[in-house]
Order: sequence, then structure tokens, then C-alpha cells
Amino acid sequence: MFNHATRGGRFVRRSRAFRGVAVTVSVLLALSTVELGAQRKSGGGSVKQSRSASSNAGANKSNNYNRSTNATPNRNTNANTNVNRNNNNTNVNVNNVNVNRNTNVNRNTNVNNAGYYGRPGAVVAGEEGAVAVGRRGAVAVGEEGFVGVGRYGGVVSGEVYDSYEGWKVAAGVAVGVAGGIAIGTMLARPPAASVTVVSSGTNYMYAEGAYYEQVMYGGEVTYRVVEAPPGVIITTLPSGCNSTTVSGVAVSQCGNTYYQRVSNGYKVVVF
Amino acid sequence: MSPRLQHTLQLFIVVVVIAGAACNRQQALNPEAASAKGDALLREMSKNMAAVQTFAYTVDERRQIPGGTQGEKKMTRQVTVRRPNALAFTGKGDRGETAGWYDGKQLTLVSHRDKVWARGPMPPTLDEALDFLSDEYDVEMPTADVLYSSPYDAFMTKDTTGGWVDTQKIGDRSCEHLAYRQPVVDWEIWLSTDRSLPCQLKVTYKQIPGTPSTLVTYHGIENPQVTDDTFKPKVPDGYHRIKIIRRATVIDPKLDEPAPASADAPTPGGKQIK
Repeated sequence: MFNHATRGGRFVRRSRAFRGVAVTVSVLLALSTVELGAQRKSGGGSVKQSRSASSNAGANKSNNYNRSTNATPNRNTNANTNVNRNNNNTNVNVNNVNVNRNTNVNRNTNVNNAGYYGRPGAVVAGEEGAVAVGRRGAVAVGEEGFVGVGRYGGVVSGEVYDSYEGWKVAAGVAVGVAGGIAIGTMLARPPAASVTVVSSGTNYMYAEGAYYEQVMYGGEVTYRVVEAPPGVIITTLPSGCNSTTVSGVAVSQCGNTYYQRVSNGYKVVVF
Repeated sequence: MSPRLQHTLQLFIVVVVIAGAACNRQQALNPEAASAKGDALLREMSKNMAAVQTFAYTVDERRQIPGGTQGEKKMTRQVTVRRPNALAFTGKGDRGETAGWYDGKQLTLVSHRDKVWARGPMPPTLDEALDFLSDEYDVEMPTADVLYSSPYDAFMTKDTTGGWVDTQKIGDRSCEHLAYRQPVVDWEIWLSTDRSLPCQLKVTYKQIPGTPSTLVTYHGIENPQVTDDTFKPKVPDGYHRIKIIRRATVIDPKLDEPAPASADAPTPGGKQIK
């Protein structure tokens, strides 16, 4: 159902009319995840659970709560055309296109609390429980062994807000809304204006340029911001998109997401 | 009414009031005695709960957030436990209808409102599972304390103060009222006078804005007949599986040292379930 294998890392090689034509598209997705400094916790645990949550999750006893969020999308598109000829061999390399998409979401949460210090990385496991730790972030090896998230496991990489409006208020106060809602952020309920879209048989919610998947967190269904699922079609582009051309294809770039115009709207494409 | 009868009635009322006051004075214990009595009652409850291998109960949970925008949330939960490693529950309330199963290996959760389900790994014993639920899956379960193999140890810490308060009626049951304070929470428990089993539990979360509280009322604790099937997940046809998200694992600051030679090499700190 959730095939992150194609999203965590992709290596595509195609041969068409010309020998030696190589189109290599690699997508490097680096996610730096965090501890959950702010919690959805609003009370409801047992006595022991509450003690544990307080000591482990940072109850902010010293009232110092420092958060810095940097969402820095970097995109480099390099198109190289190399033609090498001699009398005997003809090698034509066209469209040697390397698209390096680096998405770095750096969120550092420092909770100063007696006996507790945050760490610039957090670890969770996929369904099989395999865990690997990268120093600068969480790397979870999931059910299918891919770096990223497990097939059914997930990496907690964001905070939980009661609603989209609640996130707006919090983000507006704390870090500024300009960057949009970060991947990994979770909402207790989807944005009011969201619509259901489908990719590879999986339903997502879409609103204002962000895609949400249903996940189970805290024993409740929660909506988690994810990368735009390839193949999804939306009827209207979000605001702030630019027209560009990638690999000869005219697309609209909206943040880190590319949309290709199709008959019934705009389709998410990945290069 | 004759004056004599009137005087008799007045005398009766005075006697009742005095008797009531005397009774109250009997209930008021000095702090040491109240602490000792509360401790003894709590240990008895702990012993009783630990002794029963299979039990089930129904509770009404009310989560109150004074002055908050969310107001009060209610849920009725039915829980069946088989020590040492099985638990099943259903819940119905303001947050929809849910069900869950723990079988010593996995946790399966179903949301009937959303027609979805999720599954994740779990430790092999109930004690570990209750910790894991909270620490890793962030599941809040206000009744968890009484499910441990030693409820007393789940409730009590060295910095806990309090003890027996009085005897109260919870529904039609006579229950001993105990109240305690801890740095993080204040909690009260009412134990049935006759069986020393939980009648009611209230936890007030002092470090959460608004100091919300959860009030859990038990409708009896029973010894049902259960089979392995009781703890087998029952996911209705057509429900979609979704990911279960685990909380980030807190890593000891001592481990925050120079990076290992290989970025791929696992480092200690992440909890693993084998």
C-alpha cells in the first residue's frame, strides 16, 4: 500500500534511440528528524506514563525552549551533452541529466530540562524493528530494507498540532509561515479545505500545496505531511509556482514539487 | 404536631448532627496515620490486582481541560487482560470508536471511524508493553497503572506524599478515598472497601497548561472466560492499513559524542524489538 521504496531513493536508467544515452536520475532525500519537543499531550496518561513523559520528553522545567526551524530546499539541475566521435566508434551521449534534489529539513529542538538534553537526531523503527542511527538524523531501515522510512513504520519528524489553523498560529508565532508546513508535521485532523487525492491506490489529503497521509500516532488517526506523491493530479496549482523546463518537459515548480499540465489538471512528476 | 413530638424531633436531629460530626472526627487521621493507612490499602489493591491472571473491566473516562477549548472528552473503554502478555480493548466516545489487541508480539489498532488499521512491534510482557505504549507509540492509557504486575510500584515514588482521606460512595459502592501528590501529577484513587479494587481514579496533570485531569470510573472488575481468540486482531474487511508512527527515542547525552567511523553503523540508544 505504501511503497516508499520508490520515494526514498530512485535510480533510473533508460536506453532509447541512441546507444550510450544515459539518463540518470537520482534523488537523494535526506531527512533530518528531531525529537518531539512539543507534544500533543494534553493529559490522559496514567501516573507512571506521565512521570515517564515528563522525564523523557522534556517537560520544559526550566522554561527555556529554543526552537529553530530551517527548511532549505536546494535544487541543482545540470544538463550536459557530450558527443565523442572517431572514425570507428560513434558514441553520442545526449541528455546526460543529473537532477540532484536535496531536501534538508533541519529542525533543532533544544529543550533545557534537568537531566535531559535533546539530540539532533531521533530514531524509530520500521515494522521489523530494525534501527540504524545516523548522527545527523534518523535513519530508519524499514521492512524492505530501504533507507528512509519502513513500509509501515514511520519516522517521527515533526510536531503534532490539533489543526492546520493551530499550526498556522504556532508557526506564525515561532518561525514564520513563509516556508509552508514542513514534511513530517502532523495534524490531529486534516485542513478544512483539503480534498482526497489518490496515488498508487493510496489516499492522500491535499490542501494548499501540502499532502497528508493518514498515520496512527498516539493511538489515534493523525494526518502527516509527506512529499508530493508522484502521479497525483490536482485541479489547481497552489500559489507561488514558477514555470520551468526539466528534461525538455514544461512543468510548474511549486516549492520542491513539479507539476505537469494534463487534461484534467496538474500531475505531480518526479525527475 | 404536638410540642412534645416537636422537641423529640429536634433532639433527634441534634443527636444525628453530633453523631455525624463525631464520625467525621474519627475519619480525620493525622498525616502519618493517613499515610500509613493509604499505603496499606494501596498495597492490598496491588496484591489483589497482581494475583488475578485474567480480568476485564469497563471504565468511563472523562478528560477535563479547565478553561480549554477542547472542553471535556468522554470515552467508555472495555479492557480484557491476560497476564503476562495479552490485552484487548475497545473504546467508544468523543474520539470515535477504536479497538486494539496486544498478543505479546504486536500491537494492532483499528479506527472504525476512519476505517483504517495499523500494526507495530511490541515487547513480550505486559509490563514492558505498557511502558512501550507510552514511550514509543505515545498512547495515553490512564488505567495503565493498575495493569502492571505491581500497581503499587507504578503509582508510588519516593517523592510521593499523601494517604487516606475518607470513605466515599462511588455509585452504590463504598470506597476508600486516597489522595497523593507528585511533582508531575496529583492523583486520587478510590478503592472498594470490601475488595480493595479500584472504584475510581483521578489524575491531574500539573505540568500541562490548564492542568487537565482524567477521571476514570470503574464499573467492576470481573474474571471473564477468555480464549486465545480474544486477543487475536479482528480487522473488518475493507479497512486500509496505515503506518504506525513511533516517537523519537531519547538518547542519553553521553552518547552525543563524535560521529562513528561509519555513518551506517548502528549506534546504541535506539530501542530495538527483537
